[in-house]
Amino acid sequence: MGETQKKKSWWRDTTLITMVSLLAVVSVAAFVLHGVDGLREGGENSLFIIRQAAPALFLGFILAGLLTVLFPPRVVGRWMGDEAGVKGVLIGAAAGVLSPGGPYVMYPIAAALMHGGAGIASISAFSVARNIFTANRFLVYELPFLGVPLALAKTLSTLWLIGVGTLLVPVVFRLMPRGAQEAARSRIGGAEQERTE
Amino acid sequence: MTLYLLAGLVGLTLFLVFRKDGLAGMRYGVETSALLLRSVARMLVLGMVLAGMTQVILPQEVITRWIGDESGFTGILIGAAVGMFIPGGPYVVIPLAASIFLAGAGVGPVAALITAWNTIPFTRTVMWELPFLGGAFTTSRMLVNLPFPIVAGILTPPVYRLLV
Repeated sequence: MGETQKKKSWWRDTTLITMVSLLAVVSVAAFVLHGVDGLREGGENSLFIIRQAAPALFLGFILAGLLTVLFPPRVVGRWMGDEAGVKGVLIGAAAGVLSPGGPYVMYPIAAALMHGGAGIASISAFSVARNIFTANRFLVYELPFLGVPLALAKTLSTLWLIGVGTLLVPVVFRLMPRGAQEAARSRIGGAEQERTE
Repeated sequence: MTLYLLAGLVGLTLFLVFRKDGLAGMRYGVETSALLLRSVARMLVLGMVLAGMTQVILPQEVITRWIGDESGFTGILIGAAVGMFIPGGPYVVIPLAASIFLAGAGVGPVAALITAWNTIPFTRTVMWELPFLGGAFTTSRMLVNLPFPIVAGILTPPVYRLLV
């Protein structure tokens, strides 16, 4: 996933440029509002955050890497693509929770599953679970930065929404304009039809 | 507490990986971790510095008034709106949310912010979901997910109070 990023020159990396510009704006604002003291305080805050988060971040990254050994993304995709019904939905949700990486990993996987014949319910489960709760995001970012009570409370309060989303997205999908629905369906069911024909 | 939990999970996962693929599996896993870390390390450090700097300029009174513990439903709506339009990965948004929380924002608005950024993000939807998954699916998912940040904002504070 980092390969395209590695090849890119730093000045073409829009995310990096955005971050650096944001940092510049915020630093100038801190200097204008509070002078050199503001900059020093900001630096101290940053060091404090880094020191506090580093050990948990380190462990979180180790865990994320090990999880890809236990659940290789390609194998999970195959399970979900081949399975239908409740099992496919459950595997979809589990894949969403366990899949690491940013949108540049998630959406290509979801699109590949769609083209590979996974049902709308499995895709919904994958997508909704991926958005609501990701093991990687929870362990690497939420626990270290937000602390156990807030990270856990937010997760416990929202986890059930994965079920709600998985049930409702296909229902709403059926209410979409016929043309758009058929366009998506031909993608979703395409591979399945080819196999049965 | 966080560290013990994580260390326990790492230990358990190491054991499972060792049982599944032996030492080679463990090495492969750690190498993947290093790759993951290397791909976001720069942004991660920048995100943390940005969060630290933002703390200095965040007007505490304004935050407490608009999205503090007393801000109620309005605070949750503001949190959700901010989360919807905030761009960037978890390395930016989660440290920023933590800064806002430290500066006096309430549990509900912070939960709404993070959940909105997770479920109904404007940039990610337009840039990634729409081109990859198409209009019918993206619209259905967005419509269903629209109330989720509000639900998170309402339900998280009572659960939080049970945990602290």
